[in-house]
Formats: sequence, C-alpha cells, structure tokens
Amino acid sequence: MTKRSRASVFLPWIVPICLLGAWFWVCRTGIVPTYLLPDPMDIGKSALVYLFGEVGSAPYAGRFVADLSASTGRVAMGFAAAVVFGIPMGVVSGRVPIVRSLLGTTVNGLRSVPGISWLPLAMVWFGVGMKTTVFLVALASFFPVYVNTAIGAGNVDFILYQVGATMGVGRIRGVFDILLPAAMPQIMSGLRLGLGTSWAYLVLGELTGVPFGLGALIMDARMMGRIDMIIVGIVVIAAMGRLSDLLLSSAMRFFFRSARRMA
Amino acid sequence: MSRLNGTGPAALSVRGVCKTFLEKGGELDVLSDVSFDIEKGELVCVLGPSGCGKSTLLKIVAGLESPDRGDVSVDGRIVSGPGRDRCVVFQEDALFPWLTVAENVAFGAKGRMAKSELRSEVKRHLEMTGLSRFADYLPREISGGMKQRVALARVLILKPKVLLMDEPFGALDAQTREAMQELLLSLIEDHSYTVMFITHDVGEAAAIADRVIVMDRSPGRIKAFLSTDGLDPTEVRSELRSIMKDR
Repeated sequence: MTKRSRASVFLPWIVPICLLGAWFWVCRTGIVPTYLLPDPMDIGKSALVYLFGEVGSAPYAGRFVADLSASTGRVAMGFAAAVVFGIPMGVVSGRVPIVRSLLGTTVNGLRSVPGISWLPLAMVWFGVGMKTTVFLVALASFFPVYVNTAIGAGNVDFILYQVGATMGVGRIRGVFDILLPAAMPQIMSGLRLGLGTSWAYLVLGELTGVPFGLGALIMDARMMGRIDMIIVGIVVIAAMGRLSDLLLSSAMRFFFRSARRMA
Repeated sequence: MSRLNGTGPAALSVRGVCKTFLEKGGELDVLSDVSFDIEKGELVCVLGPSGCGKSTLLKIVAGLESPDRGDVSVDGRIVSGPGRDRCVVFQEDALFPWLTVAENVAFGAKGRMAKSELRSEVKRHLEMTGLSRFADYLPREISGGMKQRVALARVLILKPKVLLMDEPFGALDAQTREAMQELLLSLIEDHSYTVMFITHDVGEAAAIADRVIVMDRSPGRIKAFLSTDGLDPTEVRSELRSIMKDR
C-alpha cells in the first residue's frame, strides 16, 4: 500500500520532467531558434515578472491578478449558467420520456455544431468582450452537464423509487434524496467535463479582444511577438484548469456525501 | 402457535384481485380472483413456482401496481397506492449505496420524529437486527446477509402494519438464509409483526410460516391454504410437496 502510494506521488511527474529536459536540450543545442521556442529559463523569468512584477515596471508585469480575476469571473458566470440549465433539464429529460424525445434531436443536433462556429454569431449578438465570452462558455459547457445528468438520471435503478414510495417518500424528496444522489457519479463527470470545456471556450471568447483575461494575454503577446508570454499564458491556463477541477471535486465531496462516497 | 385473535377486521385483506398483462399476441392472466386474509401477528407464506404471479401479488398489495379488479384493505380500510403501513423488503439489494447502514435505517423515519428519538430508534433497530457494529459501513462494504438485515431494519423502524417480503433471502447461501429466518422469527416473537412472505422454497415456507398459501400458475390463482398449526416442519414439507404436485 505505502509502496504503491509513493509510486503514485512520483509517477505523474516523470513525463513533464522528461519533456522539460527535452525542451532545455533543444534550446541549448540551437536546433530550434529561440524566437520560435524560447529557452525555458527565459520563460520562467517572464512568468515571474508576469506573476509578481510591479505593475507598469515592464510589459505584462503584474498583470496576472487582473487577467486571472477577469477570466475566473467569466468562467464562473458561464459555467454557473450551464449548471443552472443543464442539471434540471438533464434530470427531467432523463426521467420523462416525452421530454427526452422532445429535446433529444434538438440538443444532439446543436451539440454537434463546433462551439467555434457560434463565435461570429455571438459577436453580432453580444458585441466583443464579456457577454460573448460568457455566452460561449455557457453554451459549450451546457452540453456535457446536460447529457451526463440525463444519462445518470435515466439509469437510476427503478427499485430505489419503489423503496422510496413504500416508505412514503414524496416526489420532491424523491428527487433530492434518491434521484440526485443516485445519479451523482454521472452528474460529477458532467460537471468536470463542463468545467474543462469552460476554460477552452473562455480563451476562444477572449481572443476577440478584451482588455484583460488569460485569452487576451495570449492574443496580445502574439501581436507583440512575445512567444514567451504565449507559453506563460498556456501554462497558467493549464494550471487553472487543473486547479479548478480539483476545487470542483473537493467542493462536491465536501457538500454531498453521495459525491464523497460514490464518485 | 396460532396467533389469531379473531376479532375485528383482518390486518390485511385481499379480495377478488385479478390482474392481466398485455403480452405480444394476447393477454396473460397473471392473477385470477385471488382472495385471502392475514390476521394480526400472523406470518403467511405465499408459495408457488416462478411465474405464478406471487411477486405481482405482492406489488399489488404494496400499491406499486394496481389490480384490474378486486381490492386490498389494511385494518378494514381499502388502500390505493404505496404507503408506509405496508413496507417491502425486496429480494435484490435495494439499499441506498450513498448512505451508511445507520443512515439507510434512518431514511424513511427521517423528518417524522424528533432527532433524539430518531437516533435512539435507529440504535434500537440496529441492535435488534445485529447490525450495531456495522452502523458506519457503506452497503458495498457488507455481505449480502447483512444487506438484507439493513433492508429489514429500515422498514421495521417505520412500524408498518403489514411487512411485505419478496423472496428476501432467496439470493443468500443456505447457512445465511437459515440465520435470517431465525432472526425474523425471533423478531416476530418479540414484536408480533404481521408478515406476508413470498417464497418459492418449500423448506423456507415450512420453517417459518404460520400458514401457507400455495399458488398455481397460468392463470395465477390460489390452490390451497395450509395451516402449520400442530404440524412439524417435516410434515408441513411433505404436505406442501403433495399439494404442489397435485394438479
């Protein structure tokens, strides 16, 4: 057991460390020019300036806080909208065949449209910036939340309702105390997939030109020819995606025993 | 052995129940004019081969299915739909997997009594069913026999007027099944529960029943009643076997 857990602490870092080593090697030997792929040390320095530098002391210095709070706010709003619509609609279409047939074709049709095709329309509807980004995030993360919730709710063993019914559990309590906990593993997957998608569409929305945000940082850096800052942006987004996934899972586990014990 | 008191309405009364299912190519008579009473404190086994409609009968009594004709009454009042006066112990594992043993037992009684009373009731029912040590285990961490003890405890806490058991020990190994039968009998001894117990196992019916209702299939109907009063289990078994063979 301890051997295995020690290995599981160590294992996930092998691949990143090897990749980093290869990167160093490629830059130091000069196979790839640094204007295409900067040296990791230079990126580290740029990252430090971006994260902790005094605002205005250098280009991008200290912008991290402003970028992060802008982006986090957009993800939170868009993802919240997806959850607010996705879970109730998923539950209803998972349990009510009429609703399922009513919504199925439409939702699956829309789902197959790549999110990026909504960008031009969203820009016409909402203009450039905040609203477009939130719309794209909400739209894209709605589908995984909805689809997984519907599958989870649809698969809940009928006998659990029968047990509830014979114990005098009413409809409302049945939904909250039987259906949702029983469907929790799928709901969790839907939420996690949805949140991952949120970060992807955040960047897409922010590419359209907003003053602050992690996507804006990447786009701005491209125009300035700061490849190092593009890579810093990518790493920050990856870290935020992973961190938000961890936070989501722990929050769900903290608040719901069904998430704690089954998912 | 008889616990009949003979006064007042029967604890459970089933009158002229018929049920037909639509099958491809025609109708299937699952139950045809089934009538019987179960008195307070009586353990009645409904014994029959698979396909005799005994599980459908239990579902109708539980209110999970409605009969095409006939009615079911508890303490003289006709019932429709499921209710806490008729709780079911199902054959398969029907515990809530996200709740611990104690939480499963508390589930139905929650919100119907004060917190402190609920706590002591849960504790008492865990003790009664020999589950005290397993209070904080999750269903996936305990054995099949233990799960059925939980299934029993979580309905006993509701003090149902009639306890409906749908082959509750059918999936257990012989030794565990015997232990569960003994547990059920000792609980009935102490608390005089009224039980309708579905089984296809002659030995089980002979071991626990005060009275056996033998059913036949196509159409599902009652073939015979057998009171076990004054008979030992071996005699009951051979009686039941000859009733079932005789067509």
